[in-house]
Amino acid sequence: MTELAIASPTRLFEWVRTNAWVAGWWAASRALVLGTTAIMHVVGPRGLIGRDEQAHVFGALGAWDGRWYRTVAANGYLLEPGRQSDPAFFPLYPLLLRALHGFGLGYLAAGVVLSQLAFLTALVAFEVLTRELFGPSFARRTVVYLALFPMGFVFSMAYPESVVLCAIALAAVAALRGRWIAAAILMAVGSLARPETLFVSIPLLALALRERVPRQRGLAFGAVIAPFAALGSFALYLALTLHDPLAWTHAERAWGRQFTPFGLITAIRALPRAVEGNPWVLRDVAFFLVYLALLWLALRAKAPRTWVAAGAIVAILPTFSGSFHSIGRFGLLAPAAFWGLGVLGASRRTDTAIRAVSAVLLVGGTVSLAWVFP
Amino acid sequence: MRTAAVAALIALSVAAMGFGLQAAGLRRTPQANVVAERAATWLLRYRFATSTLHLGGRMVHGRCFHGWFEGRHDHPAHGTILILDNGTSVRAIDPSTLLSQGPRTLLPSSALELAGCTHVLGSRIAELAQFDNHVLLTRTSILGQPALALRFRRLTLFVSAKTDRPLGVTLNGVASSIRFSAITPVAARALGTTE
Repeated sequence: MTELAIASPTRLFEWVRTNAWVAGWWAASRALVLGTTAIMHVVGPRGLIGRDEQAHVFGALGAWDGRWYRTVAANGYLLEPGRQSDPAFFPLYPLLLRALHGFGLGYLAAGVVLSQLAFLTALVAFEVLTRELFGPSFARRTVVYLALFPMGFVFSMAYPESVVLCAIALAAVAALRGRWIAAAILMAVGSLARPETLFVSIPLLALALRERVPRQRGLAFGAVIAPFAALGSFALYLALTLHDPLAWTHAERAWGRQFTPFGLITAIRALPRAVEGNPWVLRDVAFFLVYLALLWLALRAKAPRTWVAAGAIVAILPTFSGSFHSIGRFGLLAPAAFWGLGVLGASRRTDTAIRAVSAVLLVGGTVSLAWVFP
Repeated sequence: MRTAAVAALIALSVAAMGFGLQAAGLRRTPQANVVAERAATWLLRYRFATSTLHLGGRMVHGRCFHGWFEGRHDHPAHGTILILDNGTSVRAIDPSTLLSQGPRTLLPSSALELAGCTHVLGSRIAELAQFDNHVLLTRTSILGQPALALRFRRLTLFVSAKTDRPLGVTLNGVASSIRFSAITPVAARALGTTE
């Protein structure tokens, strides 16, 4: 008993010591994002950031969809047929905002605090996952790239991406270690925050099929279908409160998102007009191509094909809604893309270049929040 | 068989926990916001509204239409036109141009809202329904009929207690009553529309 009591703090201290570098990169990258946001609050630009958000030092991080998540947290769901309305936003993040709000934090502050903490946990979990799949030096490099990734300012916003990345990485680690109940819960948590979690079922299915312990096999397949069950629970909730189980897809249509089999062709055809309306869509097109290239690199480097497939779906599927908008953000939930970046940064020169360029673009991306949604 | 049963049990447990979490943790939308959303739906269903504004002891009648009309430089413009019988006219052209002519007894934007201009007031109420955390809903009566008052920070919208159909507005101390109807092509052209 005494030995256990002594051993646990020692192991904990050792774990903290060996993982302190992750916290260091988290702190450095978040200092860039939060520092830029604070400077924007003082000297601008403020652009299209709403008046409510302008009053807050980190207001830019609560702008755009952050306002919708806050309204779900404060008021619950209200479907306005034919108009943009909040059922398009998944329930977990507003639930967490409400929980933190219960401790006296404002919704915007709660979102900023929650996202920073979730991103730290996501980096730690992603390091463990990458180390188990590729080894420690590759994991170290990839974690740095994830922390500094140009679109990574989203991980600091009052958006659910940091929470979802955290759930995905932890679920994968749990599955690799055969802890299927934990994996099921984490997959459900992730899919109650963003639908991209559903595609993590592909790598989990591969692991479930390899499960050799007969008793564990049912749990493993349970973890694979858990995100679909969680999504079903959201549909059930919407059916009972709004009398429309598909309210989230109906609300999405008001944003011009409607999936069709030829959506990608529509997105390409509509691109010139989309650029005319909002030239920032070119950033999403660029990231779309970058993600595809990184996934190809990951595939060449023998990354698990199931993870690459999941990443490809995360990057490509949104284009079937007829638009490239926000793909830069959606791709953040494709871990395999960061493994591709890790492959690219194998030499010291490219490693330094990736770090430097990413840091500059991260600051630039944060400033862009004044004018464009991510 | 056992594998499938365990997997199904996990899925059911996850669904039950997910639903329980949402039911316990999320707030049910306040009735005031729900009524506001229904009122906005009423407004956005129509394109033509007539109104009576009580302006400084005088009654001013208004006709408001949302659609296509002749804009600047003779180009067809999409938006809202309001004509008051005191000689005031207001044109709100998408996305953000507001043109006013005649006596200025009201701010043009206030005139459009008080006159119940369907797509101006409807869009405003729809946005408030979604984002206003402090809207108040109280019972009242209009001309002896039961009604509900939706008190937003700046304006109050009166709606029918039975149907949530908007009946009137008060804004900056000015009150109005509003009615909606379909519009004939002749009446639309009389308002200067190009439809």
